Amino acid sequence: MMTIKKQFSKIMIGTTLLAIASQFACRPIETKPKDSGAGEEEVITKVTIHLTNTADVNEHFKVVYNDADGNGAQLPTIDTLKLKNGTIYDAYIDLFDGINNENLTEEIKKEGDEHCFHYTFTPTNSLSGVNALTSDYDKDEKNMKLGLKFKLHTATTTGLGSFNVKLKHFGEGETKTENPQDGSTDVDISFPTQIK
Amino acid sequence: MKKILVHFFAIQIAFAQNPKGGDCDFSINGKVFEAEKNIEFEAVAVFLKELNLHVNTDEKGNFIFRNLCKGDYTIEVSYLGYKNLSINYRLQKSIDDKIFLHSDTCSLPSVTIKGEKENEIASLCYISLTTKEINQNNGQNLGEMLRILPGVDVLNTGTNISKPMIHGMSGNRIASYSMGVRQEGQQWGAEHAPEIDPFLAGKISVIKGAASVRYGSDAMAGVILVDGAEARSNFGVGAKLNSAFFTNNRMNASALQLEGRHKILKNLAWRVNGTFRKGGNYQTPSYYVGNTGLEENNFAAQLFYEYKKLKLELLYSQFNTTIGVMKGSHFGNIDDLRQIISEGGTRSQSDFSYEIARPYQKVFHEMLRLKASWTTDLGSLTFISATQYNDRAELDAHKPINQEWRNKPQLQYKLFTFTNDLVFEHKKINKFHGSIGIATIYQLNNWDGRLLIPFYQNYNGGIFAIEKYHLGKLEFETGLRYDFKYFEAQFNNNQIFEKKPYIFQNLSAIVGVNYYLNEHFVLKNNFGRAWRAPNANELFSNGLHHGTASLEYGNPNLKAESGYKFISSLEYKTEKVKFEINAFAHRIENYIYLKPANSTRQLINGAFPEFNYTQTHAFFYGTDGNVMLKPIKNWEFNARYTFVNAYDIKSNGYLVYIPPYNANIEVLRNLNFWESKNISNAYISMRWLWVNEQTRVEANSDYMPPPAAYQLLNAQIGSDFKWNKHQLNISFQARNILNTTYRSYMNRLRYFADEPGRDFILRVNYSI
Repeated sequence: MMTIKKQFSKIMIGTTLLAIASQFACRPIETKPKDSGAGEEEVITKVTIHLTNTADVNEHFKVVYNDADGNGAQLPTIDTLKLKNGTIYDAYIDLFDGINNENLTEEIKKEGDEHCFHYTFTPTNSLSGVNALTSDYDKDEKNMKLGLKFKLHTATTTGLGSFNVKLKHFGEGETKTENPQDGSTDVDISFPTQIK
Repeated sequence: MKKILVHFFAIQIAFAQNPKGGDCDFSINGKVFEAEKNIEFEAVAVFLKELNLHVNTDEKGNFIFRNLCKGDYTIEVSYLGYKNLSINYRLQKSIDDKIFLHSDTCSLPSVTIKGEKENEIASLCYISLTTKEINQNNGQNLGEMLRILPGVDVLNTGTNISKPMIHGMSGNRIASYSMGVRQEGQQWGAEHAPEIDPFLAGKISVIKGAASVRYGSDAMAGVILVDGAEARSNFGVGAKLNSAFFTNNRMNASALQLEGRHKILKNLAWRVNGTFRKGGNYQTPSYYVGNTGLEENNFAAQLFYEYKKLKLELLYSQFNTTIGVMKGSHFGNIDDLRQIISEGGTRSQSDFSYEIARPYQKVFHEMLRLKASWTTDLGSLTFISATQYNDRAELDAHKPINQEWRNKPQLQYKLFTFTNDLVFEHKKINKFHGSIGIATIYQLNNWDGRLLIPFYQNYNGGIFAIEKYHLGKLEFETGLRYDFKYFEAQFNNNQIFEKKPYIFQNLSAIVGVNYYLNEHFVLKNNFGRAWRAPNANELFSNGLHHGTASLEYGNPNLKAESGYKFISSLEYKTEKVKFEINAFAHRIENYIYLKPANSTRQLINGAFPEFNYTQTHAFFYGTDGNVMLKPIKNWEFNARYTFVNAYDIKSNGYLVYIPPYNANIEVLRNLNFWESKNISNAYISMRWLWVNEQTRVEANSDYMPPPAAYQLLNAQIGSDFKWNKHQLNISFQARNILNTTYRSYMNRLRYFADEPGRDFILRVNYSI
């Protein structure tokens, strides 16, 4: 019994020292800062909407919302969306991370069941407003609205207003819905819009 | 490490089943009484001369030396302010003895009244959790354990992140010392809790008052001290197992401690600790709250060595925690936040689960510490050298789309800290008593993921002296400290390195007067100046803070904060009545806070309000106290309260996140009719808690008005059991018995979910 006890004490002291020594190895800490520009995280800096007139395929153009420094102090540049009245456009949206130089559209498509786009014109149904709507959204794997591709219809009236683009994101443990109030917001931008 | 712990435990059980025999199985069992009052005397130092063993008496005045061989022994019993006693024993069989200590009439009145070791700053208010309070609150994090003390509140982020607050201040306006070492994690963040395992502690206390003189910068409002237990003094191996089971979040928190000392290396003792905590989603009175689980695994090993007047202690400790951040509390922009609030908390609802999903925090903290103390005729010299490494990772709700980054944190900080402290406490010369010391800190912080806190290096040096002088019933105290801090942040913009150096120098000081009216009454007054340098986030924040959907901008021209705190406390202590009332006033020059810019900025993901780090002058004042009454035999009443007020002097407005007025009353009945040889300290108690609505807030300054006042009812029953060498303490607690639905102003996630409903807790503490 005594020998076991002696051994035990030795084992204990030995293990304690060993545990301390082995744990206190050199810790992975860099002694130089890494580049403050690159972050291991996407920052959407540019949103482009490409439009093609369904009646005239040669008539295609794009509008760009560009905030090159991401969350930085610089103000974004925003194009005006100029649409013809009484027209149907085929449209698709493209998202770009200019800080990490990466196109995000394909990735969003792959993760369609975590994302949903919403498009709104304001003001509508007024004589001077932008009477237009979107439809025919593409679907995710589960056959729910995704909205990377869509159709844009303008009424015969002309007017001024804005076109709002929202991208909603549903994280782990959240269920995707098509309700624009649900999810958390990845993109919320507005293009000044005129229908002539 | 878990493997090793299991292995240890198996061996321990083998010993327990094989009691030793032979001539070395005797013990000296003693009980020390205070002779004048005939009461049990706690924390008396008992020294077994022949074996050079030191122990302290427990709450009941008991001490024991086990596994002694036949022979002659001398025991010395000493306590500051009492006459030393030397007793000789000739050991033929185990001995039980009663020892009476008589007060030394020329002694310091403070010592006879306090019945404790003298505090380093005598005029400040020290308050500790008692062994009973620790046992009654086991299994919770440090902040939740401390909050039962008057003057202490917590700032919560959900239910698992609790930042302790002293007199309305937390984070970098208080200092935390764990095992004698200044705890250096990432205290600046409101959602960063101290990486300290309370299971490791032998004693947990709080100092209320500006204590920068002794504890360095940041100790403006107070200090949290988590001290380790002394080395095991007698031979053999001991084990302690503490377990707590919570029904609300189905949490199990267990800690195992093994310690030992052996005759062949009689100057060497060891101790290992392992802690495990795992809980799932918590439950409000009507639903489970998603992603609120936690998992924590801690480990510590200690070696103690004594040689004549030299004592060495080597400690390694490791803290690992993964904490889920409430589902629905991470959102895109300010419109999302308004939408979630308008839904009333439905987004956080979930089923029960132990699973932790995004968003979550993963924090690792380790410490290696050497402590050497050397007692001479002139005084005692203590040297503490420690390295700490802190690795904090935060994973956002939003998983990166890029596959390469998928499982990487969006924010990561790695902080390395090296501290050295040398303190000399001189013995009483004439009527002077005090200490001098130097303290140095080196730090290196690096980041990964998103840039929030830059890379920096930090060099600190401080030198201090504190002296006390006794004159009759008065005790005067003064202290002075000088600190120098060189802080250098470094940025890398496309391989162009830019350094931003800062130098801060400051004086801290205290002046104190204690008046010992008689053996029951003491009045303490302390005036202290303390300071802190601005944090890296206050200087350099630049951009989006996801947890609050705000844009925060640092100010590189911030000056250091300096504060003047006056605290006065009246203490009264008799057997039937005990109270301690504090009042304080605290002015802070250049108080740093986040000021709303009253504008929003349009980012690609929506509108965000802007905030700038700004300085003002702040004024805090308040009072707190506790009262204990034992009017009738076996009945005990305890009442505690904390009232804190805080103002921004420049704008004549209120400061945010100041705890609302709160108080609690406990009624306790000793169940002494159950007491027997094996059962002691049986009790049943009921506690009523009241927290007022925080009415001192600026109108329309928040997304939601402060929650209403609330009252909670808790109850507890417990007892100690003892047979042979086995000691068992079992208690059963019911919290929020009435299943009250409430929200707390001091919870940063109060917008999203209610606080926990009813919770039953079973606690079992076993030791041998």
